[in-house]
Amino acid sequence: MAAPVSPVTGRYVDVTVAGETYEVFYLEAGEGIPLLCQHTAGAHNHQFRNLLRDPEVTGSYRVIAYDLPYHGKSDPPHGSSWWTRQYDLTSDFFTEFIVGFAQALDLDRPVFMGSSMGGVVCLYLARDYPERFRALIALECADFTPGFYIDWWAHPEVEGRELIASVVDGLIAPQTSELDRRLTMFYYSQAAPGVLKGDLYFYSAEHDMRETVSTLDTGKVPLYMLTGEYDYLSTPAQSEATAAKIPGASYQTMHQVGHFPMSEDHPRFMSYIGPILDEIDKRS
Amino acid sequence: MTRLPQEGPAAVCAIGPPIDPRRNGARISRMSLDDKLLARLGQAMVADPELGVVGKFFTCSFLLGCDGNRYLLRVRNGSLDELLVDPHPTEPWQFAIKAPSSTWQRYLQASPPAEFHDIWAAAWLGHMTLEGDMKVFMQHHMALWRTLKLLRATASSAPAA
Repeated sequence: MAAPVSPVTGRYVDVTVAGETYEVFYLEAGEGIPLLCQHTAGAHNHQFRNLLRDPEVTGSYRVIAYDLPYHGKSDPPHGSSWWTRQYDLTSDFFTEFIVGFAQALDLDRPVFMGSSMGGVVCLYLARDYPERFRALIALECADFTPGFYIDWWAHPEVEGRELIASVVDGLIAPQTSELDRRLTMFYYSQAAPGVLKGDLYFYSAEHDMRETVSTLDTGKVPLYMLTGEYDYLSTPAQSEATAAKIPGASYQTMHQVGHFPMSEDHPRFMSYIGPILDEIDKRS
Repeated sequence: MTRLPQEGPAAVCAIGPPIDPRRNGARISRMSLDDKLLARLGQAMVADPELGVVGKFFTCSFLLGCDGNRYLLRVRNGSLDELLVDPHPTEPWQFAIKAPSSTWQRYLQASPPAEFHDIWAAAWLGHMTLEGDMKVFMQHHMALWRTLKLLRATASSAPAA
């Protein structure tokens, strides 16, 4: 007798950004409103493993968790010599990729949700592509997140995978189960050298919306911001202050949660995100 | 300065009041973090299977500072080889983690409060300082991380009778 097969499927789709084509891997489950899920820097789509398997979500949402190029099973571009240049993620590439991926799957105004760099990019999607999205859910986001673009993440005299995994643990709430903690750390030990640091170029070097975030128009796209109590890169106070600058943006602190709410404690995450998904569903 | 020798898996640390090198070796009383706690940490490190995996190359010297107290840990292959309480100022170490006792008290709680739950968090938000050779700190971070987890677990458990 065959073992039960998960309803979560994995597929590839080509996405072209700035003239280069990427073979992008994504996991998906469910039917309904498309919900795009962006992993954190240096990680991959397994961070959303519990969301993809939650029938409370997949009953009304088509949950799609992709691997950004260079992450997980999404290769660097096959058509260019990517090894001859430094991988540094930029806001232009990031937003164009997200919009291009949604176009490639012919999604009708998806909801976009991301954490950390995926939360921060919500601010850029709200600024540049508000009409393309039904709602933006920014987890662990602030208008300025400096300091993590450091060379130690990819240094020949340092074992980067162990370093990164153990540093990441400090961003996880102490109340997190040992399994969820270890898996979150494990995902961080899987990235290619330089990918975390390259992602953090966007997050910590390029990103600074302190002077402009107040111009975002939540009348064009609703913006929900949520931050974990134990996040020290974008603290609850910093996220709340950012939300306060944006007319119409909502903010909640997620208690006993850190920087990775979707992979730390799914039931607790759902207690915060579930009502928001219901609200978006009713409005659609 | 007091040396607390670690003598293998079943080592019991000899703990005495630290010596103040600025006062010609006179013994002074110290009650904060924690010569007793750090001695118990040495035993926990030896007994920990995870450190047995990630600590094979964990050989370095680092200082833990708490208010005016300093504790120099010399680790070899994942075991606490030597613990110096209030080491002489010329004793070498490679990196240091320093914080006021109020920070360490929060850090060592079994369920620590936000901002004090991790040395990066505490350092990031100004409650703790990291000093010394950051390359050595980064090279040994995984084993150091596990050691500090053991420190918290040790602080939360009752000392053996």
